[in-house]
Amino acid sequence: MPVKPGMLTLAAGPRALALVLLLLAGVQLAWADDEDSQTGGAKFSAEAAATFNKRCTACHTFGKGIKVGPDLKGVTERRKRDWLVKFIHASSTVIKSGDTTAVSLFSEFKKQRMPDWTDLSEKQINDIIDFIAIGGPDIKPLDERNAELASSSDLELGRQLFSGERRLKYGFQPCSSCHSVQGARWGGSLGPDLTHTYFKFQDRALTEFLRHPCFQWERAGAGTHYLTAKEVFALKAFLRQAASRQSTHAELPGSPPHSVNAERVTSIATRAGMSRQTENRKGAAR
Amino acid sequence: MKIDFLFVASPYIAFSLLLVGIGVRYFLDRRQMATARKEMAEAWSQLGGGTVWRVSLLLLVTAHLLGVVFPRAILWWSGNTSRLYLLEGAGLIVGVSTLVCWCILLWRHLGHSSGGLITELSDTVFLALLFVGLLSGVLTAILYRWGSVWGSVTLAPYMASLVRAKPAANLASQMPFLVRLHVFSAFAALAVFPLTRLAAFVILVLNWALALLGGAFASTTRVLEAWLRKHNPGAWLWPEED
Repeated sequence: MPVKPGMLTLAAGPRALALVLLLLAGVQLAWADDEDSQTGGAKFSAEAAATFNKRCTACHTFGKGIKVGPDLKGVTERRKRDWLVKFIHASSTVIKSGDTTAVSLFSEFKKQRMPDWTDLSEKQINDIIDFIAIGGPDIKPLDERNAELASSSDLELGRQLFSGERRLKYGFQPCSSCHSVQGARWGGSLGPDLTHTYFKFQDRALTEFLRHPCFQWERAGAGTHYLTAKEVFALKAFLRQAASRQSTHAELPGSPPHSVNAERVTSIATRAGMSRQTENRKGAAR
Repeated sequence: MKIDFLFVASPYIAFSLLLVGIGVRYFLDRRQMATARKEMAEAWSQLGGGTVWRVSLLLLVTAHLLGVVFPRAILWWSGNTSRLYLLEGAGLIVGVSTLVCWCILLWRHLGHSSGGLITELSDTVFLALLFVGLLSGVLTAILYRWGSVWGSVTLAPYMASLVRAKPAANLASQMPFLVRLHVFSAFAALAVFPLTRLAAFVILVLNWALALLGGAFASTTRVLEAWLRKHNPGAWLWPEED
């Protein structure tokens, strides 16, 4: 029987199915990686970041001016990659070779030569350069991004996660099991109403808070995971929205915004209380 | 220290008292089951109540047991908003009706003393603990919504930890006062139970079960004896000489 173009033969069937499954698995893996990514999509080697922090920050800053050596912010734009690789690997050799940039840097920085990192491979050095190129230490974990930056899809995700319409990745119970937020689904009342939590605790403290479980929940094979960075950010954004809505309703015309008041009045007091609560929860989780 | 006693030691003390109490009562009553039956009849007439009381109490106990044994199933059920409202609503209705029935029952039988001092006292203490448990349960359902969900991830693992002999007291001790009272009153009621007239029911069931086991053992022995007589392995081993 002649095979028409586009027709799936019996022999090709299982192969095609396997290919589709493989592609789906790939998509799933990529998604899982994004879900757990703490860096808001910026990909870099964790080893490179660690090496950078261990070896480079002793003499260099990133965007804070000269320390012992030059500021590394923008170094990937000022210098060619090949040159950087060579210089990081063995600066003494490059200086001895009479390279004008290397020699001028050597004299500019009081003839203090950078150590030769000959133990680092070319790949490791390239990874460090990549890390610097995409922002280096300025890269913020996804969940540490300010909730103001949340898109409408983040807010919707936060609402769904809070109410339990969408399951949390590691199988923990939704916030609405114990908490409620004005304007959302009728939540639980074991824990406090979380409507004003965002302004009470501020963005950063709330991020830290959401990284730890409320109770010593039964861990459904989740290991040390609790919420993904994406989930933390979405929940934080949802709580910010809830607090903003409420403060907009509560404010009188002409009065300063609630968020400003909250920031001024409660930032110091609540941070102390917050860290205490966080410690308590960490203790409970232990 | 207080937490350790309330949620670590007290459950084991209560369970030990329950087992020892029932064992001692059975040992004392095993030759006078007529007395146990009489006591049972008295308890039934005084505390048996109406159908609503019995059914709602049975439903409450069963629901609590199911929640402790199958927390994941409860979580699955409560994962849907409509089912959650249904379960919580039904639970609250059953709880309130049990509490009302308890009040009616006690009102009817108030002052109708028919037993000894210890029995009367323990019956009263048991009923009081039951009341505390029911009231705290109903108030918990009203004040702390979605107990079927948070209970499944806190109290059910706590009970499981007790069974595994690795008590995770902090799961219960972090709960609000009413929830802790609810849990503790249940343990206390278990400890007092063997002293009440209601324990006669357990004694009768135990006696019946043991009699059944004894009967089954006796009949098995008889069958085995008959088989041995018929087939007589001794005759194969040492055949009689002609």
